[in-house]
Amino acid sequence: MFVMLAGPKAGTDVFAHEGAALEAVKAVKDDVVDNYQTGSAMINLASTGEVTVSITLDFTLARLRAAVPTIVWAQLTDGDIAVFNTVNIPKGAAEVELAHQFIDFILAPAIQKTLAEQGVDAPTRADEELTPEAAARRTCGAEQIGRLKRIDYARMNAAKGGWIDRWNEIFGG
Amino acid sequence: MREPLTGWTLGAPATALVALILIAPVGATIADISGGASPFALYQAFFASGFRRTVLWRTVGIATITSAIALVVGFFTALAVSRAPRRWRSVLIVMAVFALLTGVVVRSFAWLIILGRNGILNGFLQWAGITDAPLAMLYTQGAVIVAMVYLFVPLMILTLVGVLEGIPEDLIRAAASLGPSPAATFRQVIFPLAVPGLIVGRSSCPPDPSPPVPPAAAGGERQMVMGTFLHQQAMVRLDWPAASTTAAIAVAVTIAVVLAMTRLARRLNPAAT
Repeated sequence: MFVMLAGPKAGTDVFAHEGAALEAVKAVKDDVVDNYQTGSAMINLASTGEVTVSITLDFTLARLRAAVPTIVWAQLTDGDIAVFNTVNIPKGAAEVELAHQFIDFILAPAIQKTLAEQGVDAPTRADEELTPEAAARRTCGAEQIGRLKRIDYARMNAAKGGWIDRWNEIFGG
Repeated sequence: MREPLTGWTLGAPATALVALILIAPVGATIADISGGASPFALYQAFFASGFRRTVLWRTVGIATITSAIALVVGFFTALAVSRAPRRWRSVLIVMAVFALLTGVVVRSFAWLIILGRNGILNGFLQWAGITDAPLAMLYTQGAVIVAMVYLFVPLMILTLVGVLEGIPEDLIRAAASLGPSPAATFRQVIFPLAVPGLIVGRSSCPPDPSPPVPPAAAGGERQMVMGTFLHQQAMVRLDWPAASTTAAIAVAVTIAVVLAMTRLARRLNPAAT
């Protein structure tokens, strides 16, 4: 994903010529402490002073603020990056109907509201109304959603094998 | 003639169990490499990559240093425990292996708190006036080695205490009565007799296909080793043939190390193996 986002910065179509995008990533290598695997690891890095800035998902915001009270969510001028939580039913799953019921359950207004208020996931329902206190734990609203940058996951997954090799050489070689 | 046969018979259930839970899955992992691609091509791709070779040699280097430190620290701690008064031994063993009571993830992440810029060690160094600013200690090879040593020294102690307790006190006294220095007694009597424990300790201790959590927590992507690389291939890239190739190479390295250690043990103590 970062390679894709580095493409426009490097002025290149990353799917045709990824080299310039990876060079742009390499240029900031010394400013990168770690490419973390989990939100918990990133929160630890922030709380121990190892990092002061991080790209992160919005569900970490409440815990980040608890660990580092001075931390703020930066509003990116060119829009935030859309990363989705998905619920998938595997091909050939035995209990498809139960899976549908579970999806209905997590999309139910009461559950959506609870998840949003607890700082877990942003509501998927556009008509969800949150209290100002609950809304403060969220990073998105109509304005941010409207400016989200979408990732073409199918193209990214097809191309990422070679990118990961180059990425590893940059950060772990 | 009957004695070896009895040994094989008695050992058969355990051998079958090992074959079932160890050889079968490892064999299936290696066999999985050939799922569509040529195994030779996959191994060639692994060794053709400078990054992958770096990961392999880094892993071997970290495992070697970790093993050496864990062996020295574990051996002398175990020696002290095994020679302590009997009523103190249990207490000392519990103290030595206390760290094992917490999970490997907790133990590994503890190093973030100890070695971080706002961590305990940096705080102490600045408080003592030794440094003016926090040192970058995490995400270095040293941090990975410290985390691995901390993880495996208790296992080494547990393994060696049993072996060292089994060396008869009379034997050591008899050796000492012949007039050698304590160092010579240690070198010529205690150490050779402890070699089997060292081999087991080394084999169960910092394995060459290192577990991914400690290097990931203390070393991050910059200190990628075979364990973290394998995790990335299997869980991020979902490239199972490449992950199987990495796993097979890691297993081969481990077997080579164990065979080399066994050979060394035979040389140090022909009766040990």
